Amino acid sequence: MSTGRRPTGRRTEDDFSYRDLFDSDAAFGGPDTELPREQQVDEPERRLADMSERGWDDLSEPGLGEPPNRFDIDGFRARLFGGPSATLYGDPGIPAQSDWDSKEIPAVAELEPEPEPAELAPHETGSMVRPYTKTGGRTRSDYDLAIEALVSTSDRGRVPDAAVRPEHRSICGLCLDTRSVAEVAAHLRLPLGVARVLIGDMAGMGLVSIHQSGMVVGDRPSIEFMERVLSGLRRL
Amino acid sequence: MGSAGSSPLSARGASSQPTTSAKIVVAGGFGVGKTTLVGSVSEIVPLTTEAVMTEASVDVDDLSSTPNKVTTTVAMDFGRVSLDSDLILYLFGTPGQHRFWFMWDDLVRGAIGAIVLVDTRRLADAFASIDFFEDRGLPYVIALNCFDRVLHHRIDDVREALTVEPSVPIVTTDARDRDSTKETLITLVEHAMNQRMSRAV
Ligand SMILES: Nc1nc2c(ncn2[C@@H]2O[C@H](COP(=O)(O)OP(=O)(O)OP(=O)(O)O)[C@@H](O)[C@H]2O)c(=O)[nH]1
Ligand SMILES: [Mg+2]
Repeated sequence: MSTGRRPTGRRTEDDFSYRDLFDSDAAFGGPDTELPREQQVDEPERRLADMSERGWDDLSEPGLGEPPNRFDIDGFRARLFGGPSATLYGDPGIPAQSDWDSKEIPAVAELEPEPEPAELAPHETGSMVRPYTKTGGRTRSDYDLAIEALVSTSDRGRVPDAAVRPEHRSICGLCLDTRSVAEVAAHLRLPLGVARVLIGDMAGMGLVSIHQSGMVVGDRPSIEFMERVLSGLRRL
Repeated sequence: MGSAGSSPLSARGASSQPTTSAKIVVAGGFGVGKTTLVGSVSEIVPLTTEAVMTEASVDVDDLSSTPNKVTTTVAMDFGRVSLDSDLILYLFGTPGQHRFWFMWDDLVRGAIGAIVLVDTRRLADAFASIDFFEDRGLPYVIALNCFDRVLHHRIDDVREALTVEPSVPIVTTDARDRDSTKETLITLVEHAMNQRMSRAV
């Protein structure tokens, strides 16, 4: 089947499948793993217009201060845990819920220690695998989540204390507005693979609902779906 | 924005049908303007996420039983465009390096198509991306990013150099310009629909 390109004999790839690597033990973080950074594109108006989309980086930005309810996540906290004073600046009324505080989401490496999965090779233990301890060492989710799959907090996920683990609570807060898997990973500074497993687990627990793109034929979007996208783009 | 309910996309809103998402890939060599293009239409400041991977060492001299492994993180940035109250388009920008292709499988699955962003001064940077999309049968368009408004080659020459068939659209673009990016996206979706319909016959 022609995809529009003449065969040239020029091939720059080899036959090696990185996918296979990634699916097995490849997803463990290494010592040189860096935390994702937001691309700081200078778009002041857009930033102001949609504060909720700002990354955690911005939370500690000097000079901006930390007004209450700047983020959805604060609103979520207030609704879940707050009494009448819950929205007051600096007093969420919920001691020991520090994972909701907007000062900072804990860096990946600082999250709660859990037993290392036993099957790990010695050289893969320790801080190298820290991000994956949150997923019990699994790198695959039962849900084969697309990076653009949309996640929203379910009714159950809105019930106070429904989510116990800090990262689950963070995701419940973030996904009060529908967001993609990729956005969750970016906002929480988690590798995509970790975010996927966490979201898959949470879907299994009924904390979030997942909307995979439905209008797909095989691996490709349907004509009808593309038509909707096209008219949406024309209206922009 | 303090209240989730103020967003039309809010999960709390009584939307009639669940929100769905579409995906378009923006590929090209380093520094060709991918992030700029994504940011020009995105309603959010482009976000970055990273996948952690280990690649086998390409050191052929390594004959030890445990393969050498090099751990890398692959950055990918993306933006979001709300096309309708229940339809969100995500644009994923990714470097066109063959060693990142493990992630491209994720990227192309379910994607409408790809924009291959090209700096005409460095045409060869586009080869890896073009080869990959050809291989996967993903519809793509070539977008020549005109730095300094100068096109360094004629479009016919670019087509010849990249060996892409006449059916593949080649457009010029200014990655910084929202309207220009919008036109490029429209060209891509139309091309993807044409390709689909011509195959369906
Ligand atoms: N003059 C001009 N400059 C541009 C254009 N597009 C991008 N640039 C600039 O080129 C530089 C690189 O652009 P990026 O958008 O970061 O490129 P990228 O492809 O995302 O780069 P990497 O992610 O590092 O591979 C930036 O300084 C942009 O401002 C353009 O159309 N015209
Ligand atoms: Mg970039």
